[in-house]
Amino acid sequence: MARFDGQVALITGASRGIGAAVAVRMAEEGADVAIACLEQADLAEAVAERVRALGRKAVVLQGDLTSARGPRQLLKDFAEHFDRLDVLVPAAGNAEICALEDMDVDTWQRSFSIHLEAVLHTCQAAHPLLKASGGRIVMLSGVGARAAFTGYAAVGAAKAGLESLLQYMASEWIKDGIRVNAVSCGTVDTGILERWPIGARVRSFLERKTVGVGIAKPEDIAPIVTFLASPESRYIVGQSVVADGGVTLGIDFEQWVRQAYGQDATFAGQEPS
Amino acid sequence: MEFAGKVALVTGGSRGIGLEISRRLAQGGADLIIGYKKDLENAEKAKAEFEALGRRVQLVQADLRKPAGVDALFEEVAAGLDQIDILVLNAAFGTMGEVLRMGRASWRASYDTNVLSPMLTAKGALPWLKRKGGVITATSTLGAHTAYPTYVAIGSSKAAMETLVKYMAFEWAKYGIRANSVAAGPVETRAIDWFRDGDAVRIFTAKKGLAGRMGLPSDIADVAVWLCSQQSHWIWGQSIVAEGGILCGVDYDDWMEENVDRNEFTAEGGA
Repeated sequence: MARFDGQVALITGASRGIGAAVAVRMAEEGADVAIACLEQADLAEAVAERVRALGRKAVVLQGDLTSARGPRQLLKDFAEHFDRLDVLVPAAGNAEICALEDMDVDTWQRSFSIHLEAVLHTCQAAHPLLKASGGRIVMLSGVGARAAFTGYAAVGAAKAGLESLLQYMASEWIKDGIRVNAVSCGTVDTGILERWPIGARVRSFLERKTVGVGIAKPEDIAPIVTFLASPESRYIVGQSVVADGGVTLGIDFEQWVRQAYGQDATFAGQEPS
Repeated sequence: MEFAGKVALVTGGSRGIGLEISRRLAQGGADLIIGYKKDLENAEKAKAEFEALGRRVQLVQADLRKPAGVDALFEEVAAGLDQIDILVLNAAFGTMGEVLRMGRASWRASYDTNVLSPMLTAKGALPWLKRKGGVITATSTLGAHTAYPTYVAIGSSKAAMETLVKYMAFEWAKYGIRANSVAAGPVETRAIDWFRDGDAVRIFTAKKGLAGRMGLPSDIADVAVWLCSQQSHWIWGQSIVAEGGILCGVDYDDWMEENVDRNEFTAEGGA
């Protein structure tokens, strides 16, 4: 018997990337799955087919979670297909790279809308169903909330807000039997690097920093999400679990100097090449 | 004097922690640009006090909830003292309420004032801060680090702001600009009575905190002004928590029924 048999998971941003991997993983572990997406219904339907091939029910739900009515409409649509909700994974996101000096109000607000407000309001809308089932929420955060990465301010700050929201939600909803946690990822190879102007530099950085584990794939994150959604993690409340392959762990002075100055660097007044 | 020849812009600088920061900067020799939303009376009082010390003081009325308010602020700066060496991001706003009751409008209002506006304000001040290098200090809250009752809109928006400040430090170090935050535990200001039970906050802080009393605006201003000074020159992109020791340790005796006597405390007249 799989640990999510008879349970239902709702995953947003599930047409691709981490959300898609979580949807499939939840199904592998026994859950029926609602796959929410913004527009790429064909991709979402492909994910749904993978879920059905595992013998589980899958439904694709489409909607804009940053709109005022979006989150409530999503849960309304969800309730037409399922009579319970056990696991909510709000994974929808779209990281845009922008330096603070070039930041405009719209870019900033887009990040906070999708990474924070949409999560808040989707969780609120799901609260009654989650309360009824003793449900779990697993959010997706990023290590850019705690350390500054090039061009990542709008996402990093929004994710910091999310990690704080996580603490508030977890502490207020635990009495309702709802457990809330997050996985804080490093950069995951979801295709986003190809959309970033600095993607090639980021990949080069990750290749050097993740020796031993490799650059993260969505499938590396999914089992951590399902663990936090499972009874095995029942005593973990309001935490953000860092899963970055050690990228933000430790400082390697020598490696850094070799990268910047070359193999034979000495300290005597060298400039980066 | 530490701040002689420097100009400090303090948003929300006419009362509470912001006023205390303005006062210490003025006492340290800084000229001041004080942003205030509507409390002209207190702003005028502060102006008179600091001018009596020989400082130049420019008052700027600004509603920093809207981007247009930020633009207006810097038009006045350009027409006024036309200099900023120290930027104190202190103006704050928030709606109290539990997560489940947070509506779209109240959530946005908190984030507009506490995150978007500091971003735009720092960007607006950047041309002046770049001239000779400068410092940015933001006031935050312990509620960004742990969950307070009904405080999610403020606490989480300040968490976002602290990370924003870290990115400012990261991106603008090349201009010689240093940015940090101070995260304040409960402090005796108007905001304490926004809690359902303000006295509970006062009693908790004084009884559980290692400092043994309620926090005062000056406790936080001391840290903030230190972060504005050369004394802290090796601190970059950090948030310094200043909370009187309320999070340090768990005392089981606090939870013993016989040790809980709220009346005894309030009879003493509070902290």
